[in-house]
Order: sequence, then C-alpha cells, then structure tokens
Amino acid sequence: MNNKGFLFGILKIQSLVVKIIIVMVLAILVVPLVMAAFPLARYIIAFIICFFIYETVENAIGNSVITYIITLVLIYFLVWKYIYLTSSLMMVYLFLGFGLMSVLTWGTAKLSK
Amino acid sequence: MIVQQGILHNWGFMDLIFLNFFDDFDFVIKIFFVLTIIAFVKQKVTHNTTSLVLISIAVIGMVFLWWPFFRATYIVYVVLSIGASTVLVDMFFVSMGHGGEEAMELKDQMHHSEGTEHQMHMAHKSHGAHKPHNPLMFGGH
Repeated sequence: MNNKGFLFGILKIQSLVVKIIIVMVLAILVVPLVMAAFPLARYIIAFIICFFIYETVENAIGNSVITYIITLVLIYFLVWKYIYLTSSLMMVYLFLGFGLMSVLTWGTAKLSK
Repeated sequence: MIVQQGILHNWGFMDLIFLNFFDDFDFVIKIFFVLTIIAFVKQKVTHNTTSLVLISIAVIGMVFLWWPFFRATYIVYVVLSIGASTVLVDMFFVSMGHGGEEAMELKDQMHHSEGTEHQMHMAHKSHGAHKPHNPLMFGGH
C-alpha cells in the first residue's frame, strides 16, 4: 500500500464491486472538484451545460420563443442553483455515452487482480 | 449570522433545504418529461391539431393525475436509455469472472481431494486383495 499509493491500497482491500463504485465516483467527481479549485472552469462548464440544455429543448420543440423560456427556466435551476450536481450528472451522462464506464469497470477489475 | 443565531442546528431548516431541493428537481424532471412527450407525439403525429390534443391529454394524465407513477417510470427510462444497463452487465461479467476463478479453485480442490480419496480407496482395495483369507470367516477354505 505504501509503494502503490492510497488508491491502489483501497483497490487491494475492498471487494470488486466496491472498488468499481469508488473508481466511478472519483471519476465523476473530477469535474466538480476542478470547478471548486479553479473558478474559470466553473464558467466554462456552465457555458457547456447551457448549450447542452438549449440543444435538448430545441430538439424537442423546435426553435421558438417557448424554447428560450424553457431553456432559461432550466438554466436557472440546473446551472444557477445546482451547478455542482448538474456537472456531476453531466459527467455520468458523458461517461455512459462514450462508454467510459465499461473502461473503468474492466480496468478496475484488471488492476485489482 | 444565521449560524450565530443557531438556526442551522434546527432540523426544520434542514427539512426546508431538502424539501426545496427535491421540489426543484421534481419540477425539472416534469419539464424534461413534458419535452419528451412533445418530441414523441410530434414524431409520430404530423397533424398539428391532433398532436396538440394528444400532447394535452398526455400531459394532463401523466403529469397532473398520475405523476408519482410516471416519475419513477421516466427516471428508469432515462437511466436505461443513457446506457446504465451496460455498466450492470459489465459488473456482472467482471464479478462472474472473479467468482468463476474462485469456483474453479474450489472445483480443483474438490477434484484433488476426490482423487486422493479414490487413490486411497484403490490402495486399500489392492492392499485388501493381497490380504490372506481368514479361514474362520470363509468356512475354512
């Protein structure tokens, strides 16, 4: 444990499913931690989430005034009030979309042997 | 100031925070659910008036009447649609691999012990074959 560090120490102790969950949570919490450490990253992530919300609403109801109203309501809740939670959920969505969760699962299983 | 007055230690304040939190996300989920209904109906029904009527009926029924049921269903639908089942399948495969290794080791051990017992049984049998017959037991042959 001393040679390989804290993370590998945890990986050696816990059962496999717990290890995978720990690695996934750490991977998901990277962006909120970066946002907490660097304020500039917070604005960049907020900008990305705003475009993401607008794209989602536009795909559903097209481009109109209602699109902007619904986008603003969602931005108020998701970006203004709960930016850290939304960024974590966005990371989950991106990781699942790109298939990175499978990489984390199999990589953890391989490394913890 | 709030901390100095001791309001943060009051459980009512914490309840208020969490209730606001859940209410906010309930509202956000409702908006996304209505957007999903609109996208689905517009994709299936091209006639404008009919689609508006169907959207209205669906929103009234699903959001205003049976929202607790459809909220849970929609959350499961979203979680499955973004591919959470892939993670579950990967976890099953990975844990099955580990369980399989343990099962193989156990099987090897059992096989080894069975082989040892079989060898001991055969050795005992062969040892018994060379044993001289008891004349008293077999009638003096």
